[in-house]
Amino acid sequence: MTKNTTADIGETTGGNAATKTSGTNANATKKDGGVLYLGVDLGTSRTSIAASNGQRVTISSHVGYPKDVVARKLLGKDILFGDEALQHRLSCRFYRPLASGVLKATSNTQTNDVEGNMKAAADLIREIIRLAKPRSDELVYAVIGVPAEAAIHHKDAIIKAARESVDSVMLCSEPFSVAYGLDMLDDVLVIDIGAGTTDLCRMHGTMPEESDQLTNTYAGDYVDNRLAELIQKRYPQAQFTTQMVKEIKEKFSNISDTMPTVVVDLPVNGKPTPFDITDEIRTACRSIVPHMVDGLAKLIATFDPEFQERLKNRVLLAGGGSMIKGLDTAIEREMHERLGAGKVLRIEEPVYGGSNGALKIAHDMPGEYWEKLK
Amino acid sequence: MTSDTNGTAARQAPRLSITQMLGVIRVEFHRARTQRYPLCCLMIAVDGLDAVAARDGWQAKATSMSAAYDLLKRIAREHGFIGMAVQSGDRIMAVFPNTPTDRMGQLGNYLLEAGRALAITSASGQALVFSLGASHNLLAETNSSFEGLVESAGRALHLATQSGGGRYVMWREAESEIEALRVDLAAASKSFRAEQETLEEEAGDAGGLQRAELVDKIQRIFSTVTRTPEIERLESQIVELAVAELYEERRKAVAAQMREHARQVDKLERRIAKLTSVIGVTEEELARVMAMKMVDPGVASIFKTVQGLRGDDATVQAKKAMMSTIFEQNLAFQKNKDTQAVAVG
Repeated sequence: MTKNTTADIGETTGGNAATKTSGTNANATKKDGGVLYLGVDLGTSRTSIAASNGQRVTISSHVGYPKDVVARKLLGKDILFGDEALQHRLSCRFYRPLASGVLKATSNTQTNDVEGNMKAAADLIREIIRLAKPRSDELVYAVIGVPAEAAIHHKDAIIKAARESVDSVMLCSEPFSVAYGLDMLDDVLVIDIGAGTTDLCRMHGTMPEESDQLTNTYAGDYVDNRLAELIQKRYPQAQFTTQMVKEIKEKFSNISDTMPTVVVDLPVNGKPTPFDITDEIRTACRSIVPHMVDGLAKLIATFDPEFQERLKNRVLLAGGGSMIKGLDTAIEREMHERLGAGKVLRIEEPVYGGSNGALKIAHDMPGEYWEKLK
Repeated sequence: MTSDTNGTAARQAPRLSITQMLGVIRVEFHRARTQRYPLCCLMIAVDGLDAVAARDGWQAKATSMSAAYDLLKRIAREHGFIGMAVQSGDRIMAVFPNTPTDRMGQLGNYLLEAGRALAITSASGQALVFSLGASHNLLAETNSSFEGLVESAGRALHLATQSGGGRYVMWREAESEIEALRVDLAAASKSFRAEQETLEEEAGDAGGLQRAELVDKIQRIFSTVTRTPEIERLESQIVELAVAELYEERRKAVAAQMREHARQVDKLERRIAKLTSVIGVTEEELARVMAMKMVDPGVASIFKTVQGLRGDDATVQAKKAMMSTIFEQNLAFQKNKDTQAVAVG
């Protein structure tokens, strides 16, 4: 340490890179270190980010705040995110701030803690951006995917939450960003199966319009609830929570008739007891297929008849729900029965498909557009 | 020795020698350096210990140091400071791992207050006053070696005792420069005082001016003239006038010189004050940087400039249109939001 200590400190201070106080403050600081693009997929169950510095992170969309001083001391943090929040949820005020793909605080369903959910959402967005490790001397431009039919006040809430951490932000349709990321812009039908919503989007070489997009709630959470009902019906003595069912589904989800037997341990009066839930899993996972094909049918039927066959044979399955084994085959079978034909492709990276596409959009967006939205 | 319920003698914890204690302390210092946590070294001395010993006998030294050691133990325990201490001769050295400088300052103040409140006295009833010097491992000179840390604490203790005693001093960055400045100030003050005394003596000694050259010249001139009572009266008047004028000029010169000395002393003192405040700011910055050392500076993007679409992309026109649509939708959305905000406002 030399005697010019103050000067040395001023030069080496990198600063807390992900924290920006406001858009105007960020603009006031000259940034000439480069441009960081972020593609964010804000999901009900998982939030993923892909960045132009090579960082790719995914965390579960859970936020926890220690309930009291003792909990804070034990946990060593003021806010917990992802699986850590889930693990310690009993000693935290626990939030799952997104529901049906949008911020819970703005949904029409009653929520007890609007402010808490809003703060949790803002903290979650801030955290996912921080995990992308942005530098303080770089401009940060982010594209966030939202459900195809997200309402205006939902979008407003997301932009407000993101503005604290980035220089400029844009929203775009989630299924569109999946297709854009794969360069499949023409004659493609995207099915993005999330936890809260399933989004369908028809791509025909131009920007999809409202009529090209469709959203329903027959998605991962629907499968969880259905599975819970079936297990409860067959084994009423078994004790379980929705979270346990979700983990079972993520581990064993399968639609095919020849799926291996699934036996799980569930407590009965405190004692772990094995239960065969193979049929329940198959039934629950299959329950979303008819609704999915309903959506496909609607979008295909309203398309130019000359190109309907091409559309049927290019159905792209994306999102976390696409990892259900045999789902692509089941959809194809149903399409053949109802629509006469069908070919389903599965995206290679279900977790990062949306964020990869959003990143590509951010990269391709002209600079002047970013400037105008600052 | 205590005994347990079975009546057998309980074991006492083995006492470490000073060498062994220093070894343990040294290990702790190196651990703090490797793992980068703050560590403070505190030196305690009893002000005027030699005078106490001279007054109350040689045993008073040991008694006084023992009282200081007990005070340190008690206060540290009361306020939750965990460390290791060793006493040797007329010094107590204590090391506190995981203790930042401000916390160390708190301990220093607690010790001084407790020392004053308890009014610990020697055998003859003389109140004992303690001085404390401390150093920390955040500086290059104190982080590089254990000896550097101890030496800095010793120098801080010296400063505390030299500046009147009964105080706590923490060794800081550039303290050596301040010390040099203080030495310069003391030397300059001493020299100025000596000059001043000489000048004042000269200025005040009117008789001395009798032998001044001007007076000599006047007397030589008058010696060439026939001496009459009137001439003698005139000579004494002229000499008196010349002496008065000379005295006045001398006085003015001395006053100007004294003003210059005062200005230089003031300048030195201001430099010391400014450096002291800069050290305070530097320490705050150090603490802030130490706290920030775990912050990840981030990973650089592969792009230095805004990219946009490549011209050679086959679908560039379609993509351009899509980008434009996305932008317009976002812009319209934000404009609507602003319009609504204005309307509501």
